[in-house]
Amino acid sequence: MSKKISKAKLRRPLYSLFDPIEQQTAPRVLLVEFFYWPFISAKLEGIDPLAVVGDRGIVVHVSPRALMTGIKVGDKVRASLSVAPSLEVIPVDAVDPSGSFARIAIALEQFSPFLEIVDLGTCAINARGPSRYFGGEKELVSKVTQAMKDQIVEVFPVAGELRNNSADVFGRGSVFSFGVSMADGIFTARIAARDSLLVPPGESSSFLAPFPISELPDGDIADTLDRLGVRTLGEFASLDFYRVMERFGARGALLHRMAGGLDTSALETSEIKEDFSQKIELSESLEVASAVVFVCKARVEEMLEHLLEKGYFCQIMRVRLMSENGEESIRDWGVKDGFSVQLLLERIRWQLESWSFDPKLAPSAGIEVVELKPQRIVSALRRQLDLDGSERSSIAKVSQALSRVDAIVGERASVAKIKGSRTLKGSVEMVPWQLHLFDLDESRNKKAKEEPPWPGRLLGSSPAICFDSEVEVSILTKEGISVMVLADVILRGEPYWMEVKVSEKKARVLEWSSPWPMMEKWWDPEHSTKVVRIQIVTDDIGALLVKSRDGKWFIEGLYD
Amino acid sequence: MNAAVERSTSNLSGFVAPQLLASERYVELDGSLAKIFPAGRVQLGSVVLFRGASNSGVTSAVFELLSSGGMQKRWSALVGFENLGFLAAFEKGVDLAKVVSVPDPGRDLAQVVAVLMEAFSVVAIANPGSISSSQARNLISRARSNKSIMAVVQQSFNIYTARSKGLWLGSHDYVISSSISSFSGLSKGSGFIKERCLSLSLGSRRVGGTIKSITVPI
Repeated sequence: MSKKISKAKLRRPLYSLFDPIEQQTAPRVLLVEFFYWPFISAKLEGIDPLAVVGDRGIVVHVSPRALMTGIKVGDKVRASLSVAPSLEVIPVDAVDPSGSFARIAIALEQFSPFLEIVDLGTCAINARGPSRYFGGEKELVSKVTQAMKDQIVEVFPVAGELRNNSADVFGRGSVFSFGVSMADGIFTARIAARDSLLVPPGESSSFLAPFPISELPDGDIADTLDRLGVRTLGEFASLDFYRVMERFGARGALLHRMAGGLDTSALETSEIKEDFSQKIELSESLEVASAVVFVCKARVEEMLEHLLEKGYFCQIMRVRLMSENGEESIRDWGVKDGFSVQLLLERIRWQLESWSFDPKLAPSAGIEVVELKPQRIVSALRRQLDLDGSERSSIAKVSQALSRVDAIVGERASVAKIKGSRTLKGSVEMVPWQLHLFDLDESRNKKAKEEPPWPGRLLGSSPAICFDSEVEVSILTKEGISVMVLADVILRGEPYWMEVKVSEKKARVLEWSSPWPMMEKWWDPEHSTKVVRIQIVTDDIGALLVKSRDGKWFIEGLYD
Repeated sequence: MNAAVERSTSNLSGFVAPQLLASERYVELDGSLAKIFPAGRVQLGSVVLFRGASNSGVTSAVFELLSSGGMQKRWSALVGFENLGFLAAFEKGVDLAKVVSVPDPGRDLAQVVAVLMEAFSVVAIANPGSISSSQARNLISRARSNKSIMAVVQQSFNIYTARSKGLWLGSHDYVISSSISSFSGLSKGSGFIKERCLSLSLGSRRVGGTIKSITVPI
């Protein structure tokens, strides 16, 4: 096993070859997870109820005591009832109807203003700043643990009473038990939270390696991997990135990175080029949450529609509420598959309610401003579940076909990306299609176009054919003397004939442009060479771009 | 109320149905190609042969196809285009994010093209010479069933190798012959190429061999 782990680590520099997601390392995350949140929010009697949450007849959450009887997630509710007849079955839509989790999560907010609610029962903050401020990661973890306990007792007085009766409220068997962990990336942190572990920076991949493949958040892919003999996360992480991508697509590649401890998928604010934020000023201050939500609806719809039109969806939204008296509540809400109108309105309502229920921080007046600011927007094509099914199926088809082509040809098909440069070849970068599909960002090509012109680059349109290898030609005057370049900009003799050396094709030069001098490899004084480029128009083979270097002429491109 | 609903739905169906079908059966063109193709569109599943000598604007003509409006949501693949200037394609307005290039398909060219046609709306082939006539027939029928446009580029002469990359031995639905003329903007040692004129002429089996021509500045 240890061999495989080191392999996975060695592979890491490979990622840095590709931009931009691969260059990032996973952010340092502090995560709090309540393992039995549905049971806390359902407010059952005692700290150890015998209960399950059922969704359409299937058990989706199991309380600690029910676990002892052998009931598992995925069992049939009816079968579980026969195991434990006194079992209480909570319908799934009764869980956390008013966003009471936000009232617990607020305890984390005193450590970092940008709290992310990953899931109901799970919240996280970016730990880098706070751990420095609170004197180290261990100290931060213990402070957070204490703060969460206090908050639980405050929000659920039941827990406090039980604690006074010397019951082990936060112990293993209690529904109130929770884990606090610190690790690189949310995925690692969630696994570490089960035993409240602190995984040192950079050790996420070795920490994850022994865990079974079923830990992956995608059951189908985990199943397939298991059947292929890949049993642990470490084994998965040591597979070749491209092979994984070919077999499982972008989704698989994402999981592959997660298994290698490189889950960068949350807690970072991506650079947003366009401002999609919405500031909703209510015409009159409102105190009732549902009224505020109702007023916001139209603008929320407008905003999400605008995002969709641009081909984006929002994974993390920062909601800022401001009361008439200037009090504020700011929170980041995360939804992995992107916000829909309903999901976002729900979050706004939860935040409003948790704020106004908080005795210490509750606003003294009605709400006046609701501001929505997308914190992480992702190109819709990168999203696994696509907006319209057709796009998704076409991408799936494309990647399937290209995998087969790669197998036939033996090298990777590629996609061109444009970047700023003054040479023709330098301004195009061929990216393997897998990486392209993974990071399909339409704004990039547009950005390149807007960049300021490079000194020495060509004017007018670019040649449609660019030669990789050098095609030597001779350019001669009418008398058959070779045309030379003097002092970088002056031609000695007038071009009259042009002959391609390899093919011995000869053509008459009709017109030629003024020369463009340019340095090649100017950053390297030993190898830098001066080249001069001119466009020539011939009678028989059209227009060409030729360059002169060391007294020889080469074709660089054809204006085909 | 019922009558109103009925009326509005019947209006709607008349309005919607043909459009949906059209987008499934055709690629809408714009720019120069729209002016020479009948009804300004190409039927999916057809074979378009681009024909010309070296440096006669064949590549530009292919870019015209790839940059047309109907290609916006479609993927295209370029097979065997070794020295393509993607910068020029980008400047023409081709959405490079949906163009995949297989520059050196090797000996299995026909197989590669066949696989690509399952997913790509346009598959362009630069070296049709390595496809035998029986393979070509096979590919044409696959293009028809996969509703994929096969764009075959047949250059009579390659400046680099001094040889042709071969003839397309199959049939075609459209043939576009191109040539480039009248370069403006430069003269004996000054200026640069500001504009060229690309002449395209279309021959089509479907419309009884009628030939339409157009000259556009590029």
